[in-house]
Amino acid sequence: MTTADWTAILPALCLITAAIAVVGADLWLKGRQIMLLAIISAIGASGALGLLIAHLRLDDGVHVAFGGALVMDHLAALLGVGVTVATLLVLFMSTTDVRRRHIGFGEYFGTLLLGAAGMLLLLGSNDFITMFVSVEILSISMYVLTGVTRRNPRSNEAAVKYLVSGAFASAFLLMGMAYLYGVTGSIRLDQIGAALSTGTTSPMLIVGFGLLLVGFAFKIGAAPFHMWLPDVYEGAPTSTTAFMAVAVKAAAFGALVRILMVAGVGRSDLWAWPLWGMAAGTMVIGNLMAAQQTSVKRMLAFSSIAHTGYGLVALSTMRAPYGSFASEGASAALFYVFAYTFMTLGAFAFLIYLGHEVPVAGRLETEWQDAEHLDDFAGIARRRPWAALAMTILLISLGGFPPTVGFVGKFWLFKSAVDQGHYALAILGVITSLVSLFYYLRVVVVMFMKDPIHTDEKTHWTIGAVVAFATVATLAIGIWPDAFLDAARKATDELSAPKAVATAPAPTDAAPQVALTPLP
Amino acid sequence: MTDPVFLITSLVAVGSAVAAVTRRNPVYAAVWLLICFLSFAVILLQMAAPFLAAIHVLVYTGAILVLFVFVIMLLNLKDDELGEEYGTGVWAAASALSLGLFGLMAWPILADPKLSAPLPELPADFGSVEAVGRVLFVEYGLPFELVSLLIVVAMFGAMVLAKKRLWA
Repeated sequence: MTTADWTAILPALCLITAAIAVVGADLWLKGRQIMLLAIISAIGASGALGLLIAHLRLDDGVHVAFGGALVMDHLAALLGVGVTVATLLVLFMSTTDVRRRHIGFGEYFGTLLLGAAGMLLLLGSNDFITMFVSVEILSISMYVLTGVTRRNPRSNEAAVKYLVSGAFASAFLLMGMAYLYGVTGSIRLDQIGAALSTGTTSPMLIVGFGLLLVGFAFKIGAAPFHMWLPDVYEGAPTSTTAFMAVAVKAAAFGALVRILMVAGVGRSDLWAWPLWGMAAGTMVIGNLMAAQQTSVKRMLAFSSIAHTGYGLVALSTMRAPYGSFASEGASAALFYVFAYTFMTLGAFAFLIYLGHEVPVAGRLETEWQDAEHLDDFAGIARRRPWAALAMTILLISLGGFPPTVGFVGKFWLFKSAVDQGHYALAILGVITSLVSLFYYLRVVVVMFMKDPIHTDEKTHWTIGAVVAFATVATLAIGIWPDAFLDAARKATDELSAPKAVATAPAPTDAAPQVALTPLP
Repeated sequence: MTDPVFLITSLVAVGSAVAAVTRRNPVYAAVWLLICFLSFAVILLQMAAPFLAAIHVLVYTGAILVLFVFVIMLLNLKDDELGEEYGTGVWAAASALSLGLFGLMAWPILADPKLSAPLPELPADFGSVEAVGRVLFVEYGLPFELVSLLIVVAMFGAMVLAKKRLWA
């Protein structure tokens, strides 16, 4: 393996090693010593985080590894930082949460880490096979984490729904990849991009890009393929929901940006308008449905659909109505997805923070229940003013108000839409953001102005610390966003650079391309 | 497209797939699925991929289908446990949707003029074990290794689902 190979795969290897070590150690420890397992996992995740940050700081260009199958660039590093930070925060919460929910620690940590490894690989993958295998790694680990509370029927139902709809989405994704391979004779994104830019055309491209978009729309929860999302997010244990909402979305968005900017750059006419429609529909449906929910967890699920819509706005504005291509939208989308990590993770962690134990019908034991209904939040500000303040900041950020990161993200996103002449999308985005304020601020009103109904929540400092970290990050990146904005810009610059990926070193053992003869 | 062997095997594949979906008795459905898999193997053989055909028979009929039959036998569903039969309206809608999707995916292939041109001459060892192995382990070494990761995740999932004692 070359240096580039190691650079590209080492962050994922850290997570994989930690995952195997945790499951092995769990056998040894027979289910005791959760802290030791958590520390092993945290070492792996911190190693990955450190390597990714080092790549961002060193800024030594694009590393093309494994004959072009995997790359390490700013896109992979920036969103990889988001994914690994989310992994670390969820690990930290889990030390309390997993015990309370009676989940096996070893498998939980192992599955979480392997899922995160799949996300890092997906962010770096530069050919369709690596991409598809990574998507499957992260999807399967998410199916498992959704159904990890085996005794909870809602969790089981959510896992089965997710598995079935996710399998459909994977089939669509694979079929789209097969069509694009059929047209261009290559599965490497840069080679597909080169073939499409030099005029290879076919009616199969329409179906190929269409199927790819359907597959990704399923994974990120864009309308009209969002139906599974509220049920799955509501049924899954909240720590899993938080991880799914931020990390899966970041990884899938990153892969989508890479496909569109590297493979699809020459034919933006094929995907920009479908994305435009999906963005508009997703914003409207997500926000209108979120406004009707009385369960805060379900409201946050619909709000995550709405935020997917905002990300898609940025992607679809890469192509202006009159046809020119600009990468600014993609960098806005990358920054938005990165920013969204902290606010959403914090908001979901707050639901766990206010959780309490409820008796199970017909048994002597109790079961852990997170704060879900609006009533659970009534009067929290009187007893826990700091926690209520933190949640208020997170919700304000989700709504897109200064001085939070949500404002910076939305500002840049709508600015890119206006710059490219997509006025309709920008106006629709602003209007739906105003609608979103209604349901975000409703929670704030209930927290500060209602009398308490429940007073039996069992808070724990680990979860409070996660909420606090997310709040501080939301504010800090909102006030000093420059480093991250630059990283997002650099990420899309690298993707637009024509020779960035094409200079891949040939495989050392030059293999004749027997099975990959391009079509005439 | 006029090759009679291809025509027959593909008709058998489509017909048995439809039968597998529509049979009410799960064992019959599994047997139809078996026929579908076998006709796929014949199609692969015809496409000069003997290794893939053998693997297809081994994995799909040998492993996956046997697993299906085991599960069906374990569950041992009675007729009233199979649920309500769908009405003709649902069947009609489902068939129309499937046919529509099939048409949508088939027309660009038929409409593309390049695809009706004759294919280039294949290398002599095309589809042989050596050629497939070289592509799999050299050119696509990384994805191949990642598949092992996929299996590890699936194993963790099985552990979560099947572990008897949930916590110590």
